[in-house]
Amino acid sequence: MPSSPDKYSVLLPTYNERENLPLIIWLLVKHFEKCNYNFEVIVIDDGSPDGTLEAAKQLQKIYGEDKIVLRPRAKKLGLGTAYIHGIKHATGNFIFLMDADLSHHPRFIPEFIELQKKHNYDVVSGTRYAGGGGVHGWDLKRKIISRGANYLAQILLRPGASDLTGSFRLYKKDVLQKLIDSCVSKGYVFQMEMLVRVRQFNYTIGEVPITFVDRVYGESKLGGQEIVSYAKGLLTLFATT
Amino acid sequence: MHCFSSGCQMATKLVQWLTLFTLFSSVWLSLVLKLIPVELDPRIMDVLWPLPIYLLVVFGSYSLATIGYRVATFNDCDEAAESLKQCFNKSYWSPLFSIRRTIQS
Repeated sequence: MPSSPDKYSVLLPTYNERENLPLIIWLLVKHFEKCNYNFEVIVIDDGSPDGTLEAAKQLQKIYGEDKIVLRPRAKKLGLGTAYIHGIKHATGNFIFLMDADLSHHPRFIPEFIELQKKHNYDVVSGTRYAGGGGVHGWDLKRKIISRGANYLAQILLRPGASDLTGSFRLYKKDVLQKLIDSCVSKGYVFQMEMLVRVRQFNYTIGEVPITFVDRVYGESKLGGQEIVSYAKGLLTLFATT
Repeated sequence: MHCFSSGCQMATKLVQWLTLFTLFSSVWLSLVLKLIPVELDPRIMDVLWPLPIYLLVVFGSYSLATIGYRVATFNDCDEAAESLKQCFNKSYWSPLFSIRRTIQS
């Protein structure tokens, strides 16, 4: 019997995560059930060619269709639209957003939930920059760029949160809906914009230090292109919020 | 704050900064160009002239020091990466175990 009437929907956009999906589902189930929370995992697969959806279907047979919900899409569309798509099918009153590649570890989920309950926060954000939070797999150059970019964003936007580009967060469902409806950016600037609008709409926000195990950095280095689009996004938010 | 008939809205960050900048510039300029008939000690005038540059340098140094400190104290989560690797190696989560579980339940 669940200990409270709250239900947590985890939105999991996936693309080529056939290797990671069984483990992350297992970890999610383990950490939710350990504390007796009511939950569901909504897998939003963007037509992965590696068979992620088939793996998800097998997991659905094991854990049940009420726990593993499949809402695939035909091809690779943006993260923002994945969230919009997922939230439509979410039956929980709280939504977890996180990465499916195990860079975010489900063991932090109870901490998010407890902090939210304690202060009735509208949003709880996982931070890599404060408390015991941190990153694995970043070289010095990446760390400097990351800290520099975050410092600039803090000066310009004063967001009231230490990690603007992080994507491991817990939202009240109606809060997330309102934030998504008012955001216009794409990519990780979208993550920044959501957090900036939290302050704009006077929602309350708490933070949980998390560990981020970067498993793609080796394959996709941070290029000049990304830095330019980050700067553009930052300046747009500076001028419009 | 701009106030419309529908209600008040907070000024954007850009507008806030521009306001602050305009305020500071007008005060500084009027003092330095002696537009306001105020008698100031020449020592204060000596400091006032290069004040904007001083402030920029102080801000620049503070920024570099802060970023440097934060890079140096950036936590490296090696234990988290290690335990994740271990998770993959263990077999209890694998589909084989899960199928066994469904047979039992």
